[in-house]
Amino acid sequence: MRLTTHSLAKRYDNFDLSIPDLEIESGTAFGLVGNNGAGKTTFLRLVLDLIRADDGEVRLGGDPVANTFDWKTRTGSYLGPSFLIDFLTPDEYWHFVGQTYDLSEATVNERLAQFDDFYVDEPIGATTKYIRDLSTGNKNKAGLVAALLPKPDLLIFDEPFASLDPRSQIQLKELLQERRGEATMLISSHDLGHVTDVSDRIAILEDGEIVRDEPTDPDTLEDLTTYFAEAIRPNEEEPVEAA
Amino acid sequence: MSFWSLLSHRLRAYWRVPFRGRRRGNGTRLAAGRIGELFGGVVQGHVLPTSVALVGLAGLVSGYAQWRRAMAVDRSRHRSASGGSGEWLDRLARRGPAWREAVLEVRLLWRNSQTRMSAFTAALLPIMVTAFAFIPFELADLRSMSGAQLLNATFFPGLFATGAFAIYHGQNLFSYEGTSVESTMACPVSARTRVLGKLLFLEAGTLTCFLIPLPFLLARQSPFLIVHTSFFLYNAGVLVPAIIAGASFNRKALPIDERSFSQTNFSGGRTAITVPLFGVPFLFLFSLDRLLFQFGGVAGLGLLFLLAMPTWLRGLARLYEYNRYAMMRGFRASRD
Repeated sequence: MRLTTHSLAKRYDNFDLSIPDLEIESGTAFGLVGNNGAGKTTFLRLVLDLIRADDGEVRLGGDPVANTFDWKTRTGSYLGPSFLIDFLTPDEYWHFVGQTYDLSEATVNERLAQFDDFYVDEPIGATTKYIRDLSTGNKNKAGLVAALLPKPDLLIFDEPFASLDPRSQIQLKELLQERRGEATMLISSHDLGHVTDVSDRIAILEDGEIVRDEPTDPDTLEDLTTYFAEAIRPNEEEPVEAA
Repeated sequence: MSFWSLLSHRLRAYWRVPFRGRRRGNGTRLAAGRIGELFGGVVQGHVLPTSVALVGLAGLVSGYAQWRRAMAVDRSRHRSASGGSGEWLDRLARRGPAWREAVLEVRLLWRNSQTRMSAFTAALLPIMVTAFAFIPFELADLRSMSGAQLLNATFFPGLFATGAFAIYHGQNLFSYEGTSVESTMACPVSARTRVLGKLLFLEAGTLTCFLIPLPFLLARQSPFLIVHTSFFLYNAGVLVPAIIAGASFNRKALPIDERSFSQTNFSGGRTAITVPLFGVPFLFLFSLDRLLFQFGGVAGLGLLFLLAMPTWLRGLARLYEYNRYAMMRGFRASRD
């Protein structure tokens, strides 16, 4: 599903997000990196119509997200624990999400089986708990599974690798690689290595603006590391200059 | 004499008359008479009826505890085909999108301390009306009540008895989902489905409040049946949709997994919509002078609004759409 923005702007008291024109073609995995407060989550919320844009619009598959509904049936997302219904068990939550996408119970169970190796700790073992009683890592896994379950045309994740153990991070990368080319992906992450591995394109968001947007190549990880290291280098050199 | 003095006076008079001397029938009426004996005995402080009532109360508490255990997750069970607890709720959820939303509300209600408490607070008033079934009132008493007596006899036993659930729980709808609101907003669930689910849930709660005392009121042919039924129709038709409309103005996420007697969640929009509707039935009761018109007016208005529910549903969905950004902004702010 193609994602476009037109003169998109969101203004807060001490922060402005401005993404004039962005186009993400169908099937592209788009990575978004930036420091805390750069506006990554704000942008993802605008794409999901969870906040109202002050100017401009986001279009998914040509439809403006603010006035249409069909894009939701083709989108899976997980932006953090606020995307979970914490008084349900993971199973109940997945079945609830499956039902909202009109998936039959058999289909949900069949698709859940694909995540048996990924979600190994809680509900597929001997016990089951409410989501609120799970560890942060397992909560995130429950949310990621729910987003992947409907096999949507657009996947949106905010910090999907956060709080996952190393094994699960590798598994998640594999799950995302499997969907690469089939689904458009918009992934925000602080983990430069992982996001580079799963993205076709990487953009750097800084103070609410995209300052760099390039296709990934073998040098991308080093370029990104250099970019963010340069931002802290002047601070490291100050004591030397003072001496 | 106030309504409550009148009530107390009648109860004392009722208890003084030997049971065999009272009007009674077979079956249900006999059972109802026995319960009346029990209630009267407790009011008078007699040992035997008080003990029986205490045993009954203990049974209720124990039943509730068992029910709660049934609603909780069985931590020793393997994953079932449909997952988690409550197979019957899963079956209900599969009846359609609105049922699925209503079932989500049921699970929210029973799995969180705060919401469970609001449900049991709401259940007290229908139970109180059940007790009213055993007060030896006649229709003539209702007819001859002064303004203040009529207000006392209808405000809590009428408006709040069947409206309690919608008022106590319904006013905080959406706020109770404040911590997970983005989850439901990002899912492909239309505004109409969400609102219909909540409507279904609150109407079911209102119907339950109506049904709790109904057999007793019917068995005793109590004149409170008129009050109870007319206010049920009013609450189901007018108050429930209004409560949902008002709740869409909630801007504060409420913690649901902790118990608090007072949760501050004031909303000007909600107050403006719902509070005037508490007074509407009393316009009928005080401005008309025959029971048929007084309570018929209240019931008729409710019935009219129930028939117009598809229209209200469209309006509620639009209101929800209109408020959703502000609601999410407020919930995020209060959550942070």
